[in-house]
Amino acid sequence: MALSFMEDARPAVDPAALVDTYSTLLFRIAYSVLRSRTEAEDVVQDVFIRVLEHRLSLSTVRDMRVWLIRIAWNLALDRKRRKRPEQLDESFAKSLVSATIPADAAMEEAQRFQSALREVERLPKAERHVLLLSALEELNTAEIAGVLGRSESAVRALLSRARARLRERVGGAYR
Amino acid sequence: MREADQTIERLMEGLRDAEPPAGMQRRILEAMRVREAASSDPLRRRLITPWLLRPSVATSLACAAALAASLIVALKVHQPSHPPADATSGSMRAAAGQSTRPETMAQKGPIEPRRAAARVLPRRPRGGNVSAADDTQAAGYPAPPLPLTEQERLLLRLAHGGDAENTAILNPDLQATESAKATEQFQKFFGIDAKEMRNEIE
Repeated sequence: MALSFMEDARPAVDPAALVDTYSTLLFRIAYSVLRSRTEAEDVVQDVFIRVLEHRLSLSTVRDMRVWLIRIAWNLALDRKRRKRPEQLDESFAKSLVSATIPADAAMEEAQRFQSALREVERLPKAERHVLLLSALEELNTAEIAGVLGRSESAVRALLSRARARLRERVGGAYR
Repeated sequence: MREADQTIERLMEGLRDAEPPAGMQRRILEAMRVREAASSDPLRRRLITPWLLRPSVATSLACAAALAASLIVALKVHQPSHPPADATSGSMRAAAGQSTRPETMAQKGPIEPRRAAARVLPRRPRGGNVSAADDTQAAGYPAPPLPLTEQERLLLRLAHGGDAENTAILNPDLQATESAKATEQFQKFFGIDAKEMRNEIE
């Protein structure tokens, strides 16, 4: 989709093309933090507004993908500070429950997901961030490291610790 | 542990497979267009900001508008269904009066003196500075019929009584004729001439 107002930046980067290419990925990044579709869409919109504001310097950005993910990630974290996690997680947990199971079992399952999400939130910040970014599978270790400003080995170690800790805590709830 | 792994895996899948809402790209492009237009016009930039196009803000604004509209409708529907204070007291008096029929009222002992104020329109503020709203309200709440006065009840009784003599009272011509006839009969009976009467008195 071509926009006339974006023709100035066309020689360097076309913001409309960036929307087309990255909006879904950025939405998932924001959604992994916020667990709300509306909030996540707001974040994606904010990202591209920022792109528009810096469109003259876009040509100097080395890795556009990581740069955009980092903006979306930081905006989502910033937005989450203003929201209560329980508020967002309740509807997300319900959305994960299968529609074919009976109502009482569905409620029990939703509570299990909600408690697992609480455990995710209780993880140390660095571990939680690595876990959420790695959940997307669209990002490799190098990209996660680029977004979080850490080395790849640190990311791998954090991810391993996060999974182990989460498994232990969620498993404790089943015992 | 297997259950824990399954739960975690389902959670991660839920995050990974999230699909953006329909029309998200179009909305983002529209917001960018608005932003671009606003940045070229400083006044517009202040008035129309892209955050107005955000789904959460737009939803909040729509809810606020719906709430305001329903409030206005509710206020319109529940406008004072009873008349203003003066008219209310008048109607209450009227209701009290209407509950008793004129005939029965007449049979009851001494009748209260007529309250002249009862028929007077709602009092207007002094100074002649009457607002149009007051007039509208007064027209919207016409004073209800008041109980009959003593004279009116008397007239009714006379009219419906069927007594010719009483009915004649209502007609001045008939009354004068009747009076003249009575005087003539009186004079004839006592055989007194008017002139003689005057002489005797003197």
